[in-house]
Amino acid sequence: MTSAPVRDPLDDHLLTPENAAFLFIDYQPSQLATIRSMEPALLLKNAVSTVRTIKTFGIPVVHSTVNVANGQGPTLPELAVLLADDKPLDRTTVNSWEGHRIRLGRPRHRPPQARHLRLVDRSVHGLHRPGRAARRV
Amino acid sequence: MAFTALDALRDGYEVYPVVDAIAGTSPEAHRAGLDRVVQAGAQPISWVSLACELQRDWARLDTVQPIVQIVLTDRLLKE
Repeated sequence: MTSAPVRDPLDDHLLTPENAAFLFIDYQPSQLATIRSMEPALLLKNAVSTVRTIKTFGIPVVHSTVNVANGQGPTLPELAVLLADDKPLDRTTVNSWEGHRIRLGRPRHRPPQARHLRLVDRSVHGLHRPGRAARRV
Repeated sequence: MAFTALDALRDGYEVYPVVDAIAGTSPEAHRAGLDRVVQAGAQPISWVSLACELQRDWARLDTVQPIVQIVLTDRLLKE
């Protein structure tokens, strides 16, 4: 069976490995311990499957943790082992976007109110690839 | 997740919360967080759907073996 022609992966309106970035935020023991909307064990399994998928496609990852410097446990080991190449960025803010000032690449549709924003975090600037339309998944 | 998603949407990014890899302190809290970001324009997705969307074609041989392993062998056919 031959493969269908590949659509332009940057211009595709669906998610592709080339037009997406993955934000991984606060998968830490204290967060897992407070989960009451589903079985924590299932959440962890789903997170592991998600990260394995993301890594299979080589999608860039922003790995964010909260308050590890002040005593919170780090990323759960089942997930940390999959993210060995993505050094955690620790922060104190609840909102990771506020804490790191993340710049993922060119948004597809830059709204007028964002025209003057330039969000650069040098620690993640390697994620920026010209032409990459970044999406959080 | 919700605050980050709202900020990312405001900055012009598309946001795809992986709804079954995110959870809350109660079912209501989870639902409210997702509803809030969806009303702001986020597009919910499941982890299996994300894997299929990225694979797109089972004839893309570079990734088909690991994706079948991750999605089918290790999870859907096992549980």
